[in-house]
Amino acid sequence: MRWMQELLLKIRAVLFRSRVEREMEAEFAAHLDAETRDLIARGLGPSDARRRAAATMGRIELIKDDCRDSRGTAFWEHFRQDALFGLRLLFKNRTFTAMALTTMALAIGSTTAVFSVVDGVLLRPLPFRAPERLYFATFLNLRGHFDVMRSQSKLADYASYMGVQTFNLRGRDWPERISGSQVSANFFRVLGMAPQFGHDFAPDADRRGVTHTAILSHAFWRERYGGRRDVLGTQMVLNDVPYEIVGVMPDGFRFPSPEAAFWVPMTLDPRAIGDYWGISVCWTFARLHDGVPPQAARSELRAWTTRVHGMFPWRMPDSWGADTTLQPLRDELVAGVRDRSLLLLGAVVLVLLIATVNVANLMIGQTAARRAEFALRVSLGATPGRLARQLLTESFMLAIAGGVLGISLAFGFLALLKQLLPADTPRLAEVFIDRGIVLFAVAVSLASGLLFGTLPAWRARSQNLRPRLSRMGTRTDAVLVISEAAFATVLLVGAGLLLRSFWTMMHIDPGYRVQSVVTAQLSPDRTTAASLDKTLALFDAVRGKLGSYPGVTNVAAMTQLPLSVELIANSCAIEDHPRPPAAPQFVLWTTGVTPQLLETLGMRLLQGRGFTAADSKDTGLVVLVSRSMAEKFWPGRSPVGRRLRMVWQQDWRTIVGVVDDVKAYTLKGPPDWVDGQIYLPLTQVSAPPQGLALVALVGNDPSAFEQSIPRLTREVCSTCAVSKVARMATVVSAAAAAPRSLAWLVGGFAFIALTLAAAGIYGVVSHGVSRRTRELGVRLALGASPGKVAWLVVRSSLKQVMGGAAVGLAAAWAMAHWIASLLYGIGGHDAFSFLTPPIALVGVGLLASLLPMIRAARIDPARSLREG
Amino acid sequence: MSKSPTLVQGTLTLLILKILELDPRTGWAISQRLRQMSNETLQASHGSLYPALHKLEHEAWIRGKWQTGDGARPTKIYSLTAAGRRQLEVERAEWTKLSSAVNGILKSA
Repeated sequence: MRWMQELLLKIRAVLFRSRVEREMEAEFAAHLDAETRDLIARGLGPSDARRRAAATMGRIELIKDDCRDSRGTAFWEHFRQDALFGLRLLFKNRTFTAMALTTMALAIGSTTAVFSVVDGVLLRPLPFRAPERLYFATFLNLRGHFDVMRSQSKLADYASYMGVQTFNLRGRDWPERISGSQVSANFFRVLGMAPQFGHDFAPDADRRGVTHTAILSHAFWRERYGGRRDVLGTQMVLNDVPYEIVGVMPDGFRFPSPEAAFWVPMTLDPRAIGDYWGISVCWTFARLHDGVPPQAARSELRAWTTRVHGMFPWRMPDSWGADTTLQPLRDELVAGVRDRSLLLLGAVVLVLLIATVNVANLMIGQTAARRAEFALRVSLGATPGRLARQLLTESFMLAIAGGVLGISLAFGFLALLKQLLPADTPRLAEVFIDRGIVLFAVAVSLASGLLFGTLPAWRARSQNLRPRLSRMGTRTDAVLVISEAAFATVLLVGAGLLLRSFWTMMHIDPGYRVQSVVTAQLSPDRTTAASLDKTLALFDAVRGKLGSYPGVTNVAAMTQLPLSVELIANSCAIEDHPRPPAAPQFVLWTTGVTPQLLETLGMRLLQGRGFTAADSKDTGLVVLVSRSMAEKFWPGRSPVGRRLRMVWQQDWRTIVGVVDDVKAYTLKGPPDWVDGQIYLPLTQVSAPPQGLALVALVGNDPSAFEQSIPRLTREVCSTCAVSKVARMATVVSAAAAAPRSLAWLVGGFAFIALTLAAAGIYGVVSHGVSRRTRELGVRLALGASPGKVAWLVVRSSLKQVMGGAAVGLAAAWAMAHWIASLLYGIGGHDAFSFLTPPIALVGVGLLASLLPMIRAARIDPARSLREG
Repeated sequence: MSKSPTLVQGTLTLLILKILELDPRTGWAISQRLRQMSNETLQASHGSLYPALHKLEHEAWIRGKWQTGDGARPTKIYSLTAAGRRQLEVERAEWTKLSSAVNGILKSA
């Protein structure tokens, strides 16, 4: 009860201040009345009595102040006063308020948007049950290995998936190519997820000989089946095999990829030795049982992996399995985008810092203009602390208003960001602005308010103690300009590196023709795909059809497109490079191509011959090697005539030529575990390819041809699916999506930073000119030339800009190794990227100082002396 | 304005609570009572009385209530709250302890 009375009175004192004040006045008046009446009763005359009463009462204003203090709400009352006063000022100085608010809102808005991405992608727990117990098993990529772990582990439940693959989905007229994921039967159970409708896979669904079942993604179910429940129990035909639809996952379940339209069980069959112990790669994760420490599960995994080493039907390298361990699943899933996301956050934080410095700068300009007001307040008894508090209150109000605006902007920025970020960013669809993000934005706003309020407040104190301002003022200006220049430099260097790396990537010769080439993926039906002869016959038919289209000069095929991020690698023995028996053989990236491919794609043959129609399955086995492979294995010598073979085949293949390197797999090239790249004639590949990448050279505008490809292909093969029709230029551009978006985003932030820095420098120089008007007037009166005076004005700020740039360069130099992994073709310490920012900054600084310089040169000495 | 003899710091609270223990009063009545009780020797300046009253009110030891009596002006009447009654006992005990201690020192010296 007691605390309630206390609280109510305090709230009343703050909120209904005028009423509390009126009551206090009334109480004192009543006291005076009573005292006067008492004195009259004692015999004094009314006017004497009134005077005496007033005299005994004492200095009423002082008493009032003491009473106010005794309410214990002085802090809040002062805050109220400051806030109201500040609000009036902010409304009065509209230009200042608009500039400060715009700056803060933009900065806080973009920081919030980027942070929401970092939070949603990197920080938020995975949307599964008890996600902290889920671990990713690194280098556990073989189905046999996984099968052993799943059946033997006592400490964790292991589950596996095979990435996202494409399937021919039979439609009414012709098949369609759609993506799905093959998973172990316990995949959903281990994740702790269940279908929204229908049921999960049977526990033995991944064994051979059971009915094929499929579970649909929510999005695919809605889009393809109109969200009808009666889809359960019906069939979908994938690669000519019927699957019964048994369930639909809830909306938002997107693991392992948002592209997966359905999930079907993988096949775990120990009798299919090649599948079980090799060839296709799967990804494995585990849910640790309650109370099992990760370390224990890791030891168990390692112990079993050692035993699995001996179970292989062939000898594995001794080092196999050495890196198999458990890592938190979330960290593993987002590892590819962690650096990018953090870099973006760093960039936007720099923009925020520059914005904060700018607002501090604006506020200092304001306080300088308010010197008269402060002087008056000091002479009326305000302490310097009270003035500082006034300024801090004002900056907090600005910060909060900027924060509120910024949060509303953040929603728009986030939508934009989702467009600009590469579409394959994991978990991007899960990113949204929630209460936590809003709290973050509020905290950032308050922190920046504190930051940009402290400097002016601190300055206001010292200014009033020493009315003629002096070095203190210029020192804070210097801090502002230097920090602004330093932040901007770091950002500019980062943006420069990324843009240059992207530029390099776009202008490098990929080793093949990019213009006038149209590509498409041809996926034949199951029977055709199972037979190399049928596949080759199909290609001949398709080639005849497409080749007759007007303008098409060449049609070729290969097993994978250069930038498909897929590769088929084979363990190969090279005749003149024998390996010790226990050591692994060479891993060679193998691509099957038709004879016309080199010509169609414009790939350069450096030595020997290319393939011809004469290279068939009945003639001698031949192979082409890439230039880098030739240089690696036969430096200074010709590889033509040397031989290699796949370890599981007896026949040697003879090298007949060397092809120049091409940018393939990704623009950065194949992974580093690949020892070399070879090409085989499509007629001599060791297994029929699951599909063909068609490559056509088109003389005229290819858009009409692009649209006709599916129709033309269906005319010769109604059971073939055609997908991924695109120009090679688009394929290359898509491969650069991540570096492009990063370069443009960071570049955009750097541009904003440069603009803000220019505005800030303008503010400081311009403010300096007004402050020094009198001094400059004296100099002009004593005969200094206007040019010299203008130089004087700009000299100090130029020095500060250069100082800041130097600090920024040093910082950027120290941080360069973080960014290096994201770069292509240039190092983290690229000279060009380090030299440009200081020059740009000095240029921008000069430009920003131009107006104040002109103003300084035009000062009229007589007038400035009179007014100063 | 005369402050002589000065009230020992903190005793004003005790005295106000003591005065209000018997019945509710206005601020003026409290100041009159203070003078009478101490045979005109203690004169709490209004400069300290009213801030003290407001402070006690905010501590919730006393409660102020506005009353419109027969006169034209409404007056604020202060009364002791339950918490104030307890506080009075605390303050009284402390004062007794303090004064006996001081007396003891004065006698022995």
